[in-house]
Amino acid sequence: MLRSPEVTVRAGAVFPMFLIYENPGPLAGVTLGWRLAQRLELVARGEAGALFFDGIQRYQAKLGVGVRLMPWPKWPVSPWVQLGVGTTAHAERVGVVLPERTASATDFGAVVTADASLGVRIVQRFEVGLGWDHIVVPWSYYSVYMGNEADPHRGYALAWFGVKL
Amino acid sequence: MSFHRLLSVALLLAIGCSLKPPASETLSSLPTSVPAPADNPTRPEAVELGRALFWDPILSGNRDVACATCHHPSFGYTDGLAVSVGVGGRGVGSARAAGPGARVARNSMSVLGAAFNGLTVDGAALPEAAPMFWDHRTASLEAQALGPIKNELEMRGNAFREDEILDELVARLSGIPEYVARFRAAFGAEGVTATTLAKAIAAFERTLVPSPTSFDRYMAGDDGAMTASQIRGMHGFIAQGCARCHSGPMLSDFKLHRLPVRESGAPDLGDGTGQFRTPSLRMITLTAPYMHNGTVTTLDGTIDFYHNLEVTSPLLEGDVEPPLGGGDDLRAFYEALSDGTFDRTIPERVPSGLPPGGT
Repeated sequence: MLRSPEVTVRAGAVFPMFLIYENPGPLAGVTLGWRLAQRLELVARGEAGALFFDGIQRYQAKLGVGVRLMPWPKWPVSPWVQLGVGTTAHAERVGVVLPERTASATDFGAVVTADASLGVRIVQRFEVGLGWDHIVVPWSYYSVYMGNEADPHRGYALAWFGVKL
Repeated sequence: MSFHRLLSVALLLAIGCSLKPPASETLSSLPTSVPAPADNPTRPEAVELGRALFWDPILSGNRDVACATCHHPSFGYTDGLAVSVGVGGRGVGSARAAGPGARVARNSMSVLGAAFNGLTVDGAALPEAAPMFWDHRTASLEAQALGPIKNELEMRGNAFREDEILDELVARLSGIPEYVARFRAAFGAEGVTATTLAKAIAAFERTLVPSPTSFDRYMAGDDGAMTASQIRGMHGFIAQGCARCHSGPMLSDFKLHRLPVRESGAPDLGDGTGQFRTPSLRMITLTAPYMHNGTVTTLDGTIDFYHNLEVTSPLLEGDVEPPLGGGDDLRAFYEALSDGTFDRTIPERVPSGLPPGGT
């Protein structure tokens, strides 16, 4: 039977590498961790982020699960690696101010990602992590464009600092 | 806070978060009226005469090529070929490419909307100075109309010298009573001359303007005219730099640029320095192949061209990056520029009695 989880709140940045986005955006999240064994944790993560680039804003929220391996859990600086899957939903607005009108459109969607991350836990309380969420099922596949560039299967990198509550 | 105040704040925020391109990189709809020079107003008699001439192969040295041969409505008033096949060719489209005939070094530009050549981002147009051809070697539709007629590969052939062909055509047309009557109706006592021949063709070409596209209707306030995908494509088009050159109502700055386009044969120096005009993207889905020499066969190929472009020389341009993963949205935007209807009339006969459109 699982014990009550460790709760870690996180704040950091998301670095998109898909569509038009080039700029990092803010990220906030929470991780729940259930100890399965001395070196293994089941984790659930939820986070929200925002991306902005030249008249386009995407607000996204992710829910995911994974496992975290901590080879040396008792060390004061304890490294860990984590693998997981998740779903990221988004709302996106684009807007362009043209002489005759402002053109805008809002879109909603979701992607499925596979994620890998690594980091360290410091004095059993603080956490620094880096991750990559790879889009394995994009929101849309090409139905018209049949060129060989602009692969939609990219993802975004994450960097965060966390505090265990 | 009142609802209206909330709405105002929301709108302000939304506009504040919108891309506002500089004036030189913005897009707009086409004017509702077509500009024409003062000495060649677009009158029905001239237009219909121009239509007959446009389709009549009598204007070619060997009576086998018409303007419509390479500017055919079935291909968006291009010929659908990488490079045009002029004198000695047979048929239209791919059949023409497979047959004999003189290969012209360049891709046929669409006549659709050519009446707006030179239109600036603020909608100003001077038809007498409208730039023509890939290398801008002439100005105005009137001047352009005589270019292919005098060109050995396109229409003249080698039976007549360049300085002979216009006199020959005036003599031919003057020998056909129907043409004489129609020139008189269109231009009065001026009758059949090289000048009125050019004016008639230009007058007809000024009518080859598509009806408002989805893009134009959206610009005019019809919120439902463009899909979200088309708007995303338009945003990406502007944000990633395509509109640095493909700007204004015609999506062309009507300037010459030098891009590292693959050569298809002997080097083509364009205006003499390797530069070619930014083509309009109006009706772009109908006018493949692309680039001045037709070396990019599909619209997707143009997107990939820019993705793969490495601009390493200060003499070269084209350093834009289509949105990663935005291929479908860009294509959707191109559709919004290309869904206007246009005159597809193919006349059953022309006054010379020759086959309309040539052999």
